[in-house]
Amino acid sequence: LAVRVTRRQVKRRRVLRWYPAAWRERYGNELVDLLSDTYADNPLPTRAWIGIVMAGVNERGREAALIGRASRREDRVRGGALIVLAAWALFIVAGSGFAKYSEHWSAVTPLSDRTVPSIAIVVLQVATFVGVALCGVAALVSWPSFSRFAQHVGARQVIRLVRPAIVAGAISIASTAIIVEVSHHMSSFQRNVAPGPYRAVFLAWAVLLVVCLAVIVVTIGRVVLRLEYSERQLRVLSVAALTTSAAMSVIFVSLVVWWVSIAQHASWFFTSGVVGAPGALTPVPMVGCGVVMLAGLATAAWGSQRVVAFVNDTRSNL
Amino acid sequence: MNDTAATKSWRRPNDPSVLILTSLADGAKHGYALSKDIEHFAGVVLSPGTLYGAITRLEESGLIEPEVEVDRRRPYRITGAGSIALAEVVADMARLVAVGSQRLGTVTWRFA
Repeated sequence: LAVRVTRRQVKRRRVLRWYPAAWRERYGNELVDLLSDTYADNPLPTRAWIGIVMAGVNERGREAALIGRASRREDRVRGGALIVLAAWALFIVAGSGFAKYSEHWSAVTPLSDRTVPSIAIVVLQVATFVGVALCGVAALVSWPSFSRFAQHVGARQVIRLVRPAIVAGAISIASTAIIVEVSHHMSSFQRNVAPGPYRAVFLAWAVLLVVCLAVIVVTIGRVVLRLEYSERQLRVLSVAALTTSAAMSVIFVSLVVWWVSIAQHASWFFTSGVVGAPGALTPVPMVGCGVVMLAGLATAAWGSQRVVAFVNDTRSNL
Repeated sequence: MNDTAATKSWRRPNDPSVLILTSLADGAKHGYALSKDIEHFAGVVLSPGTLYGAITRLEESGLIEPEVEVDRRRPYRITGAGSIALAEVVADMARLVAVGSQRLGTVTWRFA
């Protein structure tokens, strides 16, 4: 019995890992005692477990100033900018999928019907460039804070903190190099049409890149939450975040315009790709890209709303 | 106490924060005692995650405060600000009950 109780206590203590360290330090023992008082020697009901997981994630969100009103305004704008960065990562995933899927659209679209989709693609590319440039601006603006942080905590701590992103980046580059090398030895038919191992490998590579991107974004978030920003830096970050959100809206609208235009004039592109063949209006890859981008837009709106509050505060203080 | 959106957001009668403040109004209690008391007077079973989420927010807002641990259990008590906040919530609810009762013509309520 003693062993069982100990194991149960250990298991109960394990649910605390969903909470941030500071919260665990303050309330962890109390929560574990409450669980023991409430459920005695019985297993934790699924509903209670889910409630604790959700509450833990909620506390983490509050600690990172991603949700809630209690955090400092500086933390809120930083959290808002990070949420917009996460939204941008979703756009990178959806945009990469769209770029791959749509790469041969002009070859099967009548010349007279290419104007609108061409403009949509150009606008989409310009907005993407703006978004990438703004991420660069945010990184440049953060550099002095990062340098101060690195000097303060030491190189070993910094390397430990950014190691996941470095590993994820290295894996991304190495796997991409391998895929490019392999695909150079294949015909266009083998790469794009023929089912077989290449398609499976390509999908696995795409999933790997998404995971690596998620790791990099989370690592950036963990670093940024440790940095101290000046009022001026925060102003630049907030403008960059809001402009990136606007760029995402432009990208989404461009994608929809391209989609509608191709569906009207070259819908066979969404099926066999043979001119004049029966077409489709809602191909799975486009629906997937659209859904991921919509999720990105919703995320960007959430982040922007936190940033806007900061911008309004700043204006009223001027 | 400031009547801000942040403090108004939890002013529903079944809100965990209101239930906790109501429970603490007659004396300090630790987590399990709070949970049982709330279940007894309101018929609401707060999950451990919800209870401690609300305790965290109330302590951050200065509406409750911890006492010294007794047998590894830490009781919480309501603060002055917490009592004022609870009184405002109760007054709001009382007004609602009075209007509702009057319009239903069932019971006549009088509140100062």
